[in-house]
This record gives sequence, structure tokens and C-alpha cells, in this order.
Amino acid sequence: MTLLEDAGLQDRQRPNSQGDRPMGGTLVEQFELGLDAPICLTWELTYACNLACAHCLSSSGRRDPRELSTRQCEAVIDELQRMQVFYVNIGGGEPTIRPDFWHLLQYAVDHQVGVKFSTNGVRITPERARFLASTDYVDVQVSLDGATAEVNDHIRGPGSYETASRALQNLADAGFRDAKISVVVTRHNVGQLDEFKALADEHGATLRLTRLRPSGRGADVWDDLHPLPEQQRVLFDWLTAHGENVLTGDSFFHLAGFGESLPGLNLCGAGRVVCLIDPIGDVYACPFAIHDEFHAGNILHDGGFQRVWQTSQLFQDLRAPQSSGACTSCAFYDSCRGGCMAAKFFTGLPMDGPDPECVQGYGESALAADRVVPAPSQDHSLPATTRNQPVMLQLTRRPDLAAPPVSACAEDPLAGYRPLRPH
Amino acid sequence: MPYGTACKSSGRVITLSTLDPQHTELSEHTEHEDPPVSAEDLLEEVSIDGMCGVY
Amino acid sequence: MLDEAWQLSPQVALRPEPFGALAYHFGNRRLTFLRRPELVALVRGLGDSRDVRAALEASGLPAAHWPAYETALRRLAATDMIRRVAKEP
Repeated sequence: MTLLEDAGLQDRQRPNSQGDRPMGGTLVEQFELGLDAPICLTWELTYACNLACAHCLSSSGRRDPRELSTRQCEAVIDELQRMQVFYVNIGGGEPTIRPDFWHLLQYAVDHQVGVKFSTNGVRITPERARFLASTDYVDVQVSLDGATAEVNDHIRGPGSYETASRALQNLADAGFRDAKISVVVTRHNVGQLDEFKALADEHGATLRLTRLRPSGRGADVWDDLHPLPEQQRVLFDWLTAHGENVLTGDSFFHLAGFGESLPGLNLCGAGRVVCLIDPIGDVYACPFAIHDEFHAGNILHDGGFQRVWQTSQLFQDLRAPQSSGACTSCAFYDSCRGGCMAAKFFTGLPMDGPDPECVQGYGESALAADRVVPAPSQDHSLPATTRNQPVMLQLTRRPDLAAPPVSACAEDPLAGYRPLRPH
Repeated sequence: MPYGTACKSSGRVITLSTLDPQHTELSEHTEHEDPPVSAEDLLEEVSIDGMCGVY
Repeated sequence: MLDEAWQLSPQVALRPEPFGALAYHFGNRRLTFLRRPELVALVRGLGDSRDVRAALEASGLPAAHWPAYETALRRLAATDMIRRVAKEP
């Protein structure tokens, strides 16, 4: 990368520095007021995907015909460069199945925009891994939701563990340093935290644990998959004890009510320091909030990304002081900030009340009360069952069966005899 | 350009025409105490992965 | 450090903000918030000054604050945000 020039910075417009913006205060307080450009953002390149994960936050599967063209994507990168967005997290769907993915990756790097891309590993061949190992300013994040195929494939579909493993191995073999393994913590994998760490260590990678949100297809499986209250405690304790080299994307700030805050800003960054650009150019507050409710504008129709980021009504509202509402009297509000707005919205809870997974238990009470879960405003899922689709069967035993059925060949005269129990 | 002296604390140039109740006398003014500053006030390091809303 | 010449590392981007600036190192991916405009100006001016002492003198910062600013510069050095200028042979 050539020398970065800051000569042009003086000329950049700074709307947020005019008007009544208070100076001073903590860094978090400054960030809550918003910045003139995001620090980093998520950019979903396509809704197409070779997998059909049960909890997909973007309900991906089918390519949207209105997807941004290569030229339009390059224009986005040009804008990000002008705004000095330091790095962009490219995801999808599965971004590597866009034919121009590798071109756009190089384009971003050549225009002073660092890239981390999230992938299920399907296109990370040994050759691609060698290319990545030789390219600066690119980070790779492989998604994995189980430390074993059994746990992982239950959510992500048959063969997905194998695909991710192979990608990680190819990266390690090619000398790619410090790939990320990103895990969504669920009821079924929270017992595998040590194994995840070991997997990361084996591949010279860094583990990243993130929160399951009831977003996209996640809304359908959240009740069954989200960690139970006692499991949240296990997770928090594990992160406190072992989490020095583990990333979280600050996604567990709602657990701050347990005690000492985990590393990170402990702040909802949506619309303030981060946001999402989706495959058709729509801008949302964050990737967990893909819904009309959190739609800030469209880069094609609203004058480009910078204009949307700086002037959209939604973002102005998010950058204004937020009401603590029902959480006002809670001593932990200062640390948890009322939790995740996407988690509240998609479980039908009020925005100014507790997070559904509030560690003080206020969320559980709220969930038990009357609520209306909002309908999704979009769904990019593939219509028919595909061979990759996870089948989330829970194998259970019929409660009325005490034993397997008796064979017709049983020799024991008492086979199948069950004495009546005394009352 | 007004001729004056700069306040060490605020950097503001004080001239006869800009005297206000906070700066009634130049001699009082130069006795302003510079509020103490620590390195923590000056910078803060954060992980690039340390803000919520990026998957 | 005061008598040494330092400069911003070439892989660092300095982005102005209302409260100061964001410094991001593209190589090690460290992100630092410079919370005071005075520190931002000092860091920007490092490369133009003979040494750190001269940069501090040019900044107009009160001498009582110099130790804190020097500590801040050392912390920036520890994450390679700023680098010592190699001496001429």
C-alpha cells in the first residue's frame, strides 16, 4: 500500500462538528452522538448463498436481481475511501460466490479500505488461500457454529463443518496468519467453548464468539437456540477467565449486568459508528436489523452512502439521547444500556424496555407477557428445500414408551409385560 | 488584527476589546491554573473489533 | 524521547473527528482515539520538528502538561503509531 495522505482531510465536510454537539465526556458518550463516517461497517455483497443456515440474520439464499453491479460496488468503495472508513466487513449470503468478489477485494485494498470478509469457506481453495496469504490488509473470517460436525451441521447444514475445516486448513497451509473463526453462541454449542479455542489455536487462528440475534431466519429458531440464562452466565465467566485472545465484536455488552464489563466499547454501534450496506444498496442501522424499521436509505436513490450516513432521519434519531424507559430504575442500566435494539424488536419487545436476555431476568418477564413478533419485511431464502438445508430435528423418545417394542420372536413369556403401578 | 495575549488555558486571544467578566484583569487572567492532564485524558485504545454491530 | 526525532508511521491514517482524531494502523489494525485536538496537532507536527522537544515547544502546550503528552507519545510508539526517524548515517 502506498503512503497514506492526510492532506485531503482538512477539506472533508464535518456536519457533526457544527451545531450543538457537546464536547468532552467519555469516548462512549462521544460515539453515541455519532461520527461523520463509520469506523467500520458491514457490507453484504450478495444474498445468494450455497448454504441455508437455520439462523441466517439476512435470510439469505437467493440472489436479488437488483444486486449492485461491479461498477456500483467500485463506486461504494470510492466513497468509503473518501470518507476514510478504515475497514469494511464483507459478507452476504456467501460473498465469494459473486464472480467479481476477488476483483472487488483487490479494488478495496488498492483504495485504502481494509477488508475482512466472512465466508463459510466454500471457495477458499489452496490456490485462493495462497493468494490471500500474499495480500496485505485482508482478513478472513470463517463461520462455524459447532466444534464438531454434529453440532455445527445441525444449524448450518450437512457438509458445512467439513467445508469450513478445509478452508481453515488451506489457509493455515498457505501461511495465512491469524484468520478468524466466528461462532454464534447457541444453546447447543455453549458447552464447546474450550474446543472452539483449541480449534482456533490448532489453525493459528483467533476465535470470535458472537451473540445470536432473533434476526432474519434467526427469528424462527431463536426460542430453541438462544442460550438459557444459566448458559449466559457460563459464557460470561468463560470470557472473563479465558477471553484474553478471544474476540466478541462487543456483541455481549448486554451481559454487563453480570459484573465487570467485557472488553470493548460496550455500546450499541448501530447508526453511530457502524452500519450495514446490503446487496441492493439499502443502508440499515446494523446487519442484525435488516427490516423496514431500521432502514436508513438507499445509496442509489438517496445520493450516495455518505449522504445517507450523515443525514438520514433514522440515524439522526439514533444519535440523539435514548430514553431508558422501563429500565430507568435499574442499577445496571448504565452498564448494559438496555441491551440490543434488534433483539428487542424481533422478539416484539418495546425499544425502551429490557433486552429479551436481560441478565436480571426482566427480559423473561417481558417475553412472557403479551407481545407481537413483527413480520419480516423481506426474505431471501430459497423457496424449496435444498440438499444443504439443515434439518433441525431433535431426537427424542416418546414419553409413553418405557422400552423398545417387543419382537415377535421374543422367547421370554414375560416380554412386554408391564405390571400396573400402585396408586 | 487585534493586539493581545493568548490565554494559556483556552488559547483565546485577550485584547482590550474582548475583556469580559471572566477576564476582567490581565493579571488575574494569567493566574488561571491549567487543569491537570493525564495520558488517559489524551488517548484511548480500542480494538477494531470492539464495537457492536459488525458480524 | 524528547531529544529524538519522531514521525507518524506510514501505515497510519489519521481521521479528524469533532473531539480530536481517530488513528488507525493498517498493518497491525490498532485503533487509537486521540481525544484532544492538541495531541492531534502535536502528532501531525512531529515529522516537521527537529525533535519531540521542539514539537512540544511549537505546540504552545503549557510545560506542566508535557509529561502527560510525552507518556501519550510513548503509548503511541508502543503500538507503532509513531516511529523514530532513522538518523542520517
